[in-house]
Amino acid sequence: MSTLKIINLHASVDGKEILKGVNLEVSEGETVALLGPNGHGKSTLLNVIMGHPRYEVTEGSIYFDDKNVLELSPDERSKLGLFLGMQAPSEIPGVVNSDFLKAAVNAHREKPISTYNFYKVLDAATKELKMPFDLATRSLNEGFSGGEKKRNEILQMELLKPKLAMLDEIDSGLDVDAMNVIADVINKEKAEGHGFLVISHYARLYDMIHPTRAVVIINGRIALDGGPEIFKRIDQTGYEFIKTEYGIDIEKEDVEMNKVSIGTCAVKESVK
Amino acid sequence: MGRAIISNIQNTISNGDYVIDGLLLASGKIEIEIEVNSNCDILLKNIIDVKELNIVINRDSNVVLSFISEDEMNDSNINITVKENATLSGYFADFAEKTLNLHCKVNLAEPGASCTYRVASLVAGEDRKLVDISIDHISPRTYGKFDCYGICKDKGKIVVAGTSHVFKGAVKSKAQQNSKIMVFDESSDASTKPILKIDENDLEASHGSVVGKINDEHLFYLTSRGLSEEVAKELITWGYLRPILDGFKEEDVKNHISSLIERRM
Ligand SMILES: Nc1ncnc2c1ncn2[C@@H]1O[C@H](COP(=O)(O)OP(=O)(O)O)[C@@H](O)[C@H]1O
Ligand SMILES: [Mg+2]
Repeated sequence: MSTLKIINLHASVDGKEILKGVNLEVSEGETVALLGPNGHGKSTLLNVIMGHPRYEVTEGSIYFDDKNVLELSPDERSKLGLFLGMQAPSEIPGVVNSDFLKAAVNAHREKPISTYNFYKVLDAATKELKMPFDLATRSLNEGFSGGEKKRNEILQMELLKPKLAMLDEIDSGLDVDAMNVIADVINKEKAEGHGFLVISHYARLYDMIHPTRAVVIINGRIALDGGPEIFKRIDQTGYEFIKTEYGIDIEKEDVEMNKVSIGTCAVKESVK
Repeated sequence: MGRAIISNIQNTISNGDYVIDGLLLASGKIEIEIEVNSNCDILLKNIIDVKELNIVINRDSNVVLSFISEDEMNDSNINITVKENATLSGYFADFAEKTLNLHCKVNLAEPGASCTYRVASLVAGEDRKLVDISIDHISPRTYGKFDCYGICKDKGKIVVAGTSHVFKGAVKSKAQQNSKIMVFDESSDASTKPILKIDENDLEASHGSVVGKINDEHLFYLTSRGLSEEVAKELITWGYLRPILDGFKEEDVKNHISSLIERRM
């Protein structure tokens, strides 16, 4: 069985430390809900596991299948069975979605898939996800609606069948129907023994996929690790109890500063 | 469905599809006049030594001019005059392994004349390329747009110079320029020189030019799905240059251009 082991992980972006000693283990069959207030490092953790070049790991280690993940490039991590469904998937102009999907599928196979078989698989998967087939022929994520992008992430998960899928706010911007469709795919993969590490702000998705565990990340560290009752409680009462019961101060995100800088840029843009 | 061949020095043409095949040309100078109210599609291929190509597009005509550069090609000068309410759609697929200067001057001479010119260029190795497109807006209500997409790698060098000149009296004209050049490595060198010369107040003008590294967010997205960095870069390059194929009609020509791109990736 494949286990993801994260030991004392520290990571920074632009010299600012975001992860401050994360310890976490996720086994292949588990479905783990990853929770935490905005800006506390959830996405950072998943990006670091997948090997995003902008994050620098300053200390600690990550193992998957007993392989040292930090020594591997993102494509090698993917081939090991890790997958990251991104919070904000890139739009890549001119790259035809189906060309990309085929290249991704082939990267995970010894022999390239025949075009005929690929389209058969793609057709079945897009139907299952209730995606219009023309999304496959368009530029990768370019001009896709928020919901279409998220479905396209799940489509890739479906085609690549990762041992551990990390899904970052895969449900934001989805209506109930779309959420049902995505939950069905996740549940099908779960039944095949695949593991999930899922970030969501909504209890609705968790109610559909039944996490076996909930992990809360606060100030760049795992503050709580326990049963599904945790996300139910957070959904009802927020994060306040973590402060009162566990004595952990929740650092506020410097949202204000970000807003100011975005505002200033926007003004500069429009003056030009 | 074949194209009519243009091989004389002086030519007057009307509706139809034409080809200027460098292998069939006697001289390095060609003049083409397009009759009023015509729709023409002109393909230039196997161009080696066209020192001067002069085209006059008469009133109410629409012309597509598509051009493929070749490894043996010498520097070219193209001059195009666009008359009243006529349109030019230019496409230049430049994937030749060659040091090359291309000068193209478009003269929007009469009211309502319009031109869109799109260039896709790849430079690598010993290539030194200059793509110099200038569009003169002489008359009112003229529209000129120039887009250039470039890939620069393995010590290649490219300069993209786009000049839009809006003359006094060319009121309600619109001039746009857009250059995007992706530089793959430190050894390569790309620059853009967008110039807007404006002698008129009543107009719209804009230019954007980006010279930059390959987007690491894009690269991460593709590699995180198992594609090697090499394959990911190929896909990105391909996606960047592919839209130029829209300017070419025939499948075999599209295939030819594709193979010119592929051999250099
Ligand atoms: N690529 C990045 N560049 C700069 N700052 C980043 C980047 N990614 C994350 N951060 C910063 O790291 C902190 C944690 O962000 P993130 O991991 O996205 O939080 P979460 O997903 O928990 O909301 C925030 O302060 C955010 O601004
Ligand atoms: Mg996030």
